[in-house]
Amino acid sequence: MYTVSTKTGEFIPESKSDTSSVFAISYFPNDDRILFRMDDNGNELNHIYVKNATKITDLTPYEGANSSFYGWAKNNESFFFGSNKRDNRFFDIYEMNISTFEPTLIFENLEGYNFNGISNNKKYLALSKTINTSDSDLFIYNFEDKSFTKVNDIQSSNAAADFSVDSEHLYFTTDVDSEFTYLMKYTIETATREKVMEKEWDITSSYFSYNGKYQITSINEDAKTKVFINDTKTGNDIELPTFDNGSVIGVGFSRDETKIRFYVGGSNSPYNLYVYDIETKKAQKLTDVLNKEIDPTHMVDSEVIRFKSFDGVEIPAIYYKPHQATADNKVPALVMVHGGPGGQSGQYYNPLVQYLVNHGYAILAVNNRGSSGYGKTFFQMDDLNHGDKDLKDCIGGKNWLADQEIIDAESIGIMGGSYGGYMTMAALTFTPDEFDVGVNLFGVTNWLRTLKSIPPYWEAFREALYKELGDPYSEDSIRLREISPLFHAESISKPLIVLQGTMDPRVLKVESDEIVAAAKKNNVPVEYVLFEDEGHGFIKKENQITAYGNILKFLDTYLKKTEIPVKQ
Amino acid sequence: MRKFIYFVLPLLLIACNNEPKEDGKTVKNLKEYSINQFMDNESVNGGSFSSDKSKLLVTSNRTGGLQYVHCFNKNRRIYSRI
Repeated sequence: MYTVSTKTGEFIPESKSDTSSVFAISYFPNDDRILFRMDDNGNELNHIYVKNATKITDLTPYEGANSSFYGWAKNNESFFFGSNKRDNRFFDIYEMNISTFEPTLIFENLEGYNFNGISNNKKYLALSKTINTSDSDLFIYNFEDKSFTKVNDIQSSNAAADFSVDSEHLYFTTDVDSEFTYLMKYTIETATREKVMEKEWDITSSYFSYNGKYQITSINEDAKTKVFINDTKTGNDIELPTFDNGSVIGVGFSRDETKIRFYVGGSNSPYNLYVYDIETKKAQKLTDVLNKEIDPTHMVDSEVIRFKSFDGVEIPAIYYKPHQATADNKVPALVMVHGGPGGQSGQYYNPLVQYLVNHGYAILAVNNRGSSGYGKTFFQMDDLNHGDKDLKDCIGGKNWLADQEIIDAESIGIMGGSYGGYMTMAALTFTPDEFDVGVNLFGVTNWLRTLKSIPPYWEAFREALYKELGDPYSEDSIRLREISPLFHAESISKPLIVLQGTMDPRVLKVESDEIVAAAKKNNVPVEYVLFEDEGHGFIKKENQITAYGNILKFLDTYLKKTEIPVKQ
Repeated sequence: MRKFIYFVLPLLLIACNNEPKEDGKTVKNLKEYSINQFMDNESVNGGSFSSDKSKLLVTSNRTGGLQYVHCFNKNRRIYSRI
């Protein structure tokens, strides 16, 4: 626990907190109590806690269960949450009365629906059902007659955006007859649909402020989020201030719809929090997050580049060019691969990227085929083809780097986390001569084991993942074995660093243990950095310092070769 | 498009940015910073208004190891934390 002086802003630790990771959820609607969530060092089993002036209480003390906040009721007397305490595969929906803190089960989830929203009048639920990693059906559940109504009529990617404030309509995104998702409005009474908003890129979210005065819509414009705030009375978008050092993201409204909080930052600047008054048009900066010792002009801005892969498919990528780099001072480089399958590297602040670029490494974050954000055809291009064409796209990225006159073509590595860690290991085993080093952050190395050990609460999604990657209990297992780096580890011939959290429920520690042991047999330099109090992603600052510091040291030794590597 | 991405690092800020490019600006006295200096950049996320709008509840890694919850009032003083 900490207190901070209201005079000086100084932080004063009152007591050491435990080692878990705490995330804010919300203030209570009518008082200063706080909701937050916390898991056990990254095990992804979150509980919801309330903190009042004197104490902290676990509101979901269900051992082994995962609970998620689903939002406040319109009347401010309760909130909704999901928990898999009844059946560890599926999340039931509960309503928590905030005077008594007694939860009531309001929807027993017997068939693996995903919660998508609840209407203000508490009459309807929006529920989706995963069909595959691209497509989901969308349903409205009526609490009064217990009926389910399917909102979409053909198989497509559907997700609820928001109910209208009067509970008469459901806004949802779909991609029927389109590469990109657009916004539809469904009228519940008449079961009719109409298209209400379409952009040139995916509409990723759209929701209303508390009384519906504003509709806030986000799109994913070439790996950058762009936010529109529409005044629903006039139909015009309101203008937000512009900033030299970044753009506005992460918009949230006050309940009375007079104030907005947002963040300003970018790929070369960490995000600062602002409060904006809509009437006076005044923005107030609340944080100054960049360390005073760092000159902001030393940070490196990203740019989007596109290259043709081996078969002519155009691959987008995010490029960071170090300030040190010139044709006379060529720099080493890294291809970076995002998680997934189906994630996307975006143009946002990433401390590891900026740290490495600051130390003279160019980085190309490749959005290989199968990435999100570039249309559904591109998204599906890696299905049942992982570790093959998507890997060739990463090699295409390496070739693009090698063609740059400021890059040392003999010093190009590959780095990635999770699925990107898999790609890193796939590169080092299946194409051992392409990259000079590998940085594997908790990457999958044995698909058979990983796909068989998915936590039970991912049940609603597990089959979709099997459809995309392969079913480890079927004949697909032959292919899954073929594309698993662990069974081909004898090919690893380049220096490797592996970083792993012991608590990771998705990529188990054994995946990293075994690839490290196998690579060591080849007499190549292998470093292994393990964090006992981290899961799928390193959250704690001291661990991030250790992780990123070790990555740079490894790269300086084996890629930049500033020190003579110690012979193993 | 709401997709489940299973083998992925959790992103705290699901948002990106758009910014002007530097116009051939040269960087003066470029320094290479230590990891401790880099990680001294604070990471702030979320932002729930209190009922009287005088405060915002956010998650931050300001003081080091852990993610903390703290609150900003209008005068950018931080006065309560977990």
